[in-house]
Order: sequence, then C-alpha cells, then structure tokens
Amino acid sequence: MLRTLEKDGFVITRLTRATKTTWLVSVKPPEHIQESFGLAPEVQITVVQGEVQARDLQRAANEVLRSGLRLDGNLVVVVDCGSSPLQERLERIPGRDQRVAWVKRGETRPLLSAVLRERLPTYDVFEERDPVRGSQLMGRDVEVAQLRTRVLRGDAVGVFGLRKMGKTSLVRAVTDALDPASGMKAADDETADSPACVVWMDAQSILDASVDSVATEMLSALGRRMRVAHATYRPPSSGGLSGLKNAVEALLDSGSRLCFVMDEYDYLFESDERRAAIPGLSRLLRLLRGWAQQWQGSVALVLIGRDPEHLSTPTLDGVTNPLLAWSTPLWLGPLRPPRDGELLRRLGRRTGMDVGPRTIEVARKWSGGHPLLHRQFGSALRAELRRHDLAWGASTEPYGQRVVEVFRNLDAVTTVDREIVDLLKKRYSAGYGLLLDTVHGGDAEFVLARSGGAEGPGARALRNFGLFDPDSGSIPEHLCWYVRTFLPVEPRAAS
Amino acid sequence: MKSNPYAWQGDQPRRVVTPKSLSSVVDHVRRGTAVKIVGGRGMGKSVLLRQVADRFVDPATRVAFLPGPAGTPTVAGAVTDVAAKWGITDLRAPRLEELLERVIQGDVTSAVVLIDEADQYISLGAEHGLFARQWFNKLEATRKDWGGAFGVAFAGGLGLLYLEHELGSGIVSRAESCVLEPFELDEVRRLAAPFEEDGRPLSERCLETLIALSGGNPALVTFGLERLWPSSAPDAVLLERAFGEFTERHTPFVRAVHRSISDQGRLDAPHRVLEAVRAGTGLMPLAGLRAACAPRDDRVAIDHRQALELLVAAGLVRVAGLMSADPVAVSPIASILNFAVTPSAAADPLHRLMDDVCLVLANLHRFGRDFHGKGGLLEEQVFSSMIAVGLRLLGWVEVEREPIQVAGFTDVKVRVTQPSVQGHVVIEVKLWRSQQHNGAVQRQIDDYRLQETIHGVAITLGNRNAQGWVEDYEDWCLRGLSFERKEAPVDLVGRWHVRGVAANGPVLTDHLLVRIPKRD
Repeated sequence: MLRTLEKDGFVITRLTRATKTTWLVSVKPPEHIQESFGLAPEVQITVVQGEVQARDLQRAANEVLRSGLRLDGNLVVVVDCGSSPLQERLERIPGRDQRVAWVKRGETRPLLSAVLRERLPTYDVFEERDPVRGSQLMGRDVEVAQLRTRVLRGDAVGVFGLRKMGKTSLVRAVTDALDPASGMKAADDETADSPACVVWMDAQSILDASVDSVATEMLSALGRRMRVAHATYRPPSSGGLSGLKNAVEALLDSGSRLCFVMDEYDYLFESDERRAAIPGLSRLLRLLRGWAQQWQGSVALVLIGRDPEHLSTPTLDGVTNPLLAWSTPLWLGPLRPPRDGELLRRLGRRTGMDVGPRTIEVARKWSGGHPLLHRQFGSALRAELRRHDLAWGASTEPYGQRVVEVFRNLDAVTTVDREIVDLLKKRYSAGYGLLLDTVHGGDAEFVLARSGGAEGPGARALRNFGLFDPDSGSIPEHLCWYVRTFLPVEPRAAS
Repeated sequence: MKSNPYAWQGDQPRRVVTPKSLSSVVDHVRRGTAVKIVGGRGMGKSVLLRQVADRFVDPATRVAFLPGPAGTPTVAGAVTDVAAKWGITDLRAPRLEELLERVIQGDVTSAVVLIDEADQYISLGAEHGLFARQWFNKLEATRKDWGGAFGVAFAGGLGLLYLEHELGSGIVSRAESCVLEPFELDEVRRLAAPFEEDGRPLSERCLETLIALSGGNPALVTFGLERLWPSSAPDAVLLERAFGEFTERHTPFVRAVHRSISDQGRLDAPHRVLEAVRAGTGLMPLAGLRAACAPRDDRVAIDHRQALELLVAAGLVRVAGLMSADPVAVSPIASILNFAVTPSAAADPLHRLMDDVCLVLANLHRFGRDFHGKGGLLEEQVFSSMIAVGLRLLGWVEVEREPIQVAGFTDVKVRVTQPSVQGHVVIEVKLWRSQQHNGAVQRQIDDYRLQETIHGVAITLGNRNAQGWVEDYEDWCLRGLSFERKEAPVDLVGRWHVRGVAANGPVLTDHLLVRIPKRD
C-alpha cells in the first residue's frame, strides 16, 4: 500500500497506531491531484487488520478535528482485511462522510488516484443541509478571520442571518480551531491541546423557562467538553446559576480562556407562547458580562440567531439589557462573487465536473449566493450530468440553464423561501411589503421610494438578510419565483 | 386454505411490501439527516418506520422505535421512554445527551430514534403544544450536535404542519421529506402473492377493481385482500360488497382520513384544495390553487405545494408533473374515499336514484386517468363494480351484481323499496367501441326486463372527443327509437329518455353518455 501511494505521488505525513489493529495514515496528495479532485491538503487512510468497524471510522473523524481540519473532513479511505465487499460494508456504517474502499484488484492494489476518480462522483458532496466543518466551509475566509479576532479579543458577538446561511458553520470553523474537543462527542484515547475551552449550547435544548435551567445546560455542555478533552477539572452537573458561577470562575482563576456559544439564541428570548424572554435571563447575561470585564480577553460570547433585535432591547427583566453596548452584530449574508463561483468549481471538481463561468452566472442569479441553495444548484447539476453518464471532467456549460427548473422545485429551495417569507411577514412587515411590491412589478425606483428609500426599514431589513441589492433593486430569483408561484393570494398582493 | 395472511387494522400487518422510498429513508437516517415521513391514515407510515428499524441490524447502531408519545408528556418522560427501549432504567437524570453518552460508547457508534404518530404529540402535555415543541427542538439540537451519530425519523400528517408553522419546529422544516404515495398495480400484485401461492391467483380484473376501489391506500388494499382470502373463488363482486359497506362499518377510519387533511378553523387549506380538485377538470390553474390557500379563518397558513403534498400523502389526489406548473395537472384518485357521499334530496325515489347515478358517473369522469390501463379503458365490469359501490355509498343498500345468463353479460340491479315505488332498476354498462357492440343496448335492457323492473339505465363510457359524440350515439344506439334528448348532467356528455312498451305497459329507459378522459 505504501509503495502504491509513493508511486502515485502521495506523501505520508503522519502514521499513528490507534489500536492494536488500526492505523491512521495521513497522506498529502500531489498538487495536481489535490487541485483536480478538490481535496483538502491532506487525506486520511484508515487501515484495519481484520474488518473495519464503526468505531474505527469514529476515531478517524476525531483525528480530522484534531488535525486542525487540515485533513479532508468529508472523505476517509479505508483498507481492511475483511472477506466480504468492503464498499458495501462501509455504506452500512452510519455517518455522513464519504467512505472509499481501497481494495486490491486481483493481486495488485490500484492507484489511489484511480480509485478516487471512480468513487468521488458517486457521492453528492453538494448535498449538505447541516453545518459543515473544516475545509467544507468555503468562501467565508474573511468572516472567519473577523470572528476569530473578536473571539480572541474576548468580545461578545452576535452572528445573524437567515437560516441555512452558514452561521453555525462559520462559528464552528472558529471554535473547532480553538478547541477541537468542543466538536467531538465521544472521548477516545487521544488528547488534544486547546488554546481555549469552548462551551457550546443550543438554546433549543432549554426545557424549563428558567435561568437556572439555562445555566445547568451550560454546565452540562462544559462537563461534556471536559470529559472529551480528558481534563482533570470536572464541573458539577447541576447547581443552576450559582453552580455555573463557581465552575467558570474556577476555570478562569486557573488561567483558562473560555468562549461561550449560544446557538439559536432567539429561543432564549421567545421561551413561550407569548414569545417572552426566559425570566432572570438578565442575571446570566450580567454574569457573563462581568466575567468578560474582570478577566479581560479571556471570556468571549458568541450568539447565533436570526434576529438581532434582542441585542438592542433597552431593558430585560426590568433592568438595563446587559447586551446593550456590549454585543455587536456580525451579519452573515450570501456568498458574493467570486467566492460563490469558487465553491461550485471546487465541489464540482470533487464530483468530476468542470463548472464553467456561464453555469456560475446562472447559479448566482437563481441562488442569490445563499450557500445552501448554491449547493442545491450544484447538486441538481451533478444529477443532470450523471443522468447523461458523462466522463470525468465534463463541462457543465450545456446544462446550467437546463437545471433551473429542477433547482427551483427542490424541496430544500421552497423550504428556505417559505421560511424567508414567514420571517419577513411576522417580524419585518416593511421588508415583506417591499418584497411583494418588487416582485409584483411596478417601477423599481417608485417601489423603493414608497417603502422609505434605500435606507428605509424595508430595504434595510432585506439588505441585512442579503435579499436586496439596492443598486439594482433586485431580489434573488428563487425568492421572486416562490412569491409569484406559491405564495397564497393575499389582499396586498392582489391589489 | 392457509390462515388469512392479511390484517388491515393495526400497525403491524402480517403481510407487507417494501415501499420504493425505504432505501432513501434508511440512507438519510444513516447520514444523520432528519427525515419526515408524511402520510395520511392507512398510507403505511408505521410499516415504513418498522422496516427502517429492521434495516439497522448492525450492533454498532441502537434503534428506538416510539409508536406514540410517552405516558408522561414531558421531555423527561420521552427520554425515559427511549432509555427503556434500550434497556436503561437507571439514568441519573432523564436527559437526552446523557442517554446518548451512555449508549454511544465502545462498539456502539450511533443511535437512531424513530417516532410514529407525530401528530399525537401536538395535543398532549402543557397548553399550546409546549411538549411537542420542546421534544422536537431537543431532538433537533441533539441531532445537530451529534452529527452523523444520531439519526431521527418521524412520521405524521397534518400535525407536522402545525409543528412547522405554529410551533416553529426547526427539525420539521429542515428534515428531508418523504411523501408516501398510494400503491400502484405492481405493488398490489406483490401484496396479493399469497393468493397465487395458495393456488387461487386473483384475476387482473379483480386486482384492477381492488385498486380502483381502494385508491391504492395500503390499508384499504389490505382490507380488500383480507376480505377476499376466505373465498374459494375470490372475485370483484366480493370486493364490491366489502367496499360498499366500508364507510358505514369503519367510520372512524374514514374520519381519520379526513382529519389528516383538515382541521377547520386552524388549517383547512388542504380540504379547500381537495374540493377544488374534485370539482376541476384535471388541470388546475395556479391562481385557483393559490386562492384556495389564501388565509381565511385558518390560524396556520400554508402554500398549495404543502396542501397538495398532504393530499398526495393521504392518497386522495395524484399530481402529474410539477406542482409549480400552470396549470397543475392534478386529479382525484379513484377511491371510495373520494366518492361523493351526499345523496340527492329529491322526493321521488326514481328521480333520486337517477340523480345519484349521475353523481357517481361524474365521479368516474373525474377519476378518468385511473381507469386507463395499458390496453386502453379497463373492462366494463370494473366500471359496473365502481357504479355498484358508488350507489351503496350513497345509501342504496340493495344493489346487486349478478351474471345475467339470459343476456350474457353482467350488470347492476338496484332495488327501490319505497311506499310509492316498489321494484328494481336495471343498469347496463357498456364501453363505446363499435356500432355492433353498442347498437343493441336498448334491446339488451328490454330483454332483461322482468315483471318488477320499473326502469332501465344504459350507461356508455368512452374516451373519444365529445364533439359529435351525441349525434353518433343517436345514430348508433337510438335510431328507430322514440327518444328525447335531455340536458346533459354535470360532467356527462349526454342524456336521453327512450320510451317503449313492455308487456305490462309503457316503459322508460335513461341513456347516459360519459367521457372517461386519460388526461396525460
């Protein structure tokens, strides 16, 4: 196997014996293969003496996180000595990455590059609706750098944007690098050095609308992270706000740097039918702010959500909102050119497609740069090319326009549009009105002026969400099409 | 004869077929993608979920199948329920994360939770569906956190729209959707394989009748097969009786089907869309569908794609092509669930029967596509069966279907037992083929008349262009007779009254001409 790798130009960068029967091999592909296959700088090969088990792949996934995401997080090559077909066994093991069986053909092992060329197109690398990790996050280098700087500075940042815009992926890119253990679920024999301790909590998990319940959830997240990292300090599993205070201050006193992430933070402020904030929430936020001031630079807070209005609410629980003049918003909009094109090109190379400029133009026009929709366009493109059974490296140019019909009818696309319309209708009526007026025609300038102009509330709401280009007065085609085709008739639209 | 392999009631039928969607659902669950299975009553949600569970035989995955909400409608109760399925009864605290940490270790690398009857979670627990919101949010947060190591699939109908729109559940809107569709003939044939194995294969006509009456709803198909099994010579006539009585004998099932598409005052758009589709021509303009979904007194607003998906998943409509096309090709599926159920209110019993016959024929016209097989329109006997069942569903309990050896064909006989009128009405069904085939229809009815025959009905069905058909009918079938052209009833091509004289005096025959369009 090693000789075949060498012959193919792969360089072994790390070889670890994970267990008595399992080896993890990191290899660096030659530049032309990395480039033409859209691979990360390194690829992991899991070698098992005997039959590969699900736990071997789990170890491989943890190794990806520990590598600082240098390894390709979406691909693992497997070699084993099992008697039944390896590829079939790999496909039965749960997990979302692509597994490629590297098996001998007769007496010889084929070149890895040849196996990759054969197998990579069989996996729809575009089809990803959950947050992505490592090298899968594309076109967000600027935002990642900005956020990393703010987190390292110990700021409070609110990352806002539409659902599926990549907010969680962006924050994960920063926290995975700062603290690989925060991204792992199960401990293994390895430990990882972390410059910080990330406590990641999803506010959807909060069951009781009480601040102690939130604090207990944070303690639980902290405890899990400590276990996975094999840390000696173990926080209490309960104790509410006071338990959290004791645990965090003990860590800070010992010189740890902490980053608290609250995903789906809107739920903290909409805890019940009345959409009221969790009672006592201001006490927790005050505590966080106090730590940030006392241990300056050592405590960061990242809030992830759709709606920044909670940051600027003057009061919370009848006292001044602690987030006021502390937390600053970071709007995450669509991917802009040329980064959107690069995403399609790179993932296209991964699946054996040569995505051309005209295709990118069509995708841009229809997805508006929304990452999930952009990927969905790529997925539709891949399906179309596979339908024609085209060779590796085929150009997408003849097919770009043809897949528009398929793309706009994809379930994922209408779901995103439905959510956008719902959000605007419920929270941003001026933006909703501008959307309807723009879609249903009329002079663009007049429509914009009537809504309060480019700086009016309607245009501002749509612009923040990356849905409106004030220069051209345009709205992404997918959204216009949804409104024209699916939005139930309403009095305003009818008039 | 072997014991009956079919049991239509209950979530674990003894005999099932593998749906096309199974491998796709399994693949998504393996990848850690949430999957929502949308289906109405009897569409096979539970069966599919159980088949998904059976696919995870690898000991590296633990699977929990939840047939319904836990006894205690709290997240802690739900977690305890899942833990119990995995044999864990000593959880320190009933928290999902702790449970997964306990389960996913060593050789176990993933866990899957399969939730049936998601709709039932809506009405449980604290007010306003708080439990449903919390439980499904918890599942989504955990799924996101655990990546591919934790998979969730849940099945439901209308309740999923509440979860998504009213309770703002992220997992429902983000989940990969699997919309269940009715069985097609091949699937029904596979399900009927035990008859063949028992040396009593079902005829093609019997299978076609079964699919036309059941609409391919898996529970109804199984119901039909269960009723056929005890017969040494199973045939379509047995199905007519069973399905003709179905709505009366199994009202809760029918109500559940309706509840799966409508909840007046909260979410009624799917029902309004269904009414529009039933009244339509098979091609619905987008504007009509969007108007049917326009918010009225509904608390939950949905678009026509969601409404149509729900109707497809309930086995009530079929959409050909895209739901964004204008017009959308959508038609009601031939099924007892789609038959008109409101009988005529006319005082005269004969008048009432004729109104109801026309109503049933209008249904057949709208179900058109379902009556076209590979070789054109299905056999006349299938239509006779549909008419017989349609009339039974409208309350005509004494509908007989028997071979009339004298005339050499099978037809429908309806007994009218009112104080003012006593006797039976003979209905003759023919496909429009040729002058030789159709020309003698009046004579055939006259030959069949008995002393107690009080009326005759000749029904002709075809798929030809309506233009000129009325004239051709008069030329082929009514030449030389004393007839009067009447106004065509709704959705029918033509109607005539033919007057004649029998041994016991003057007699009247209704002739009805119906188009069964293919609409492809």
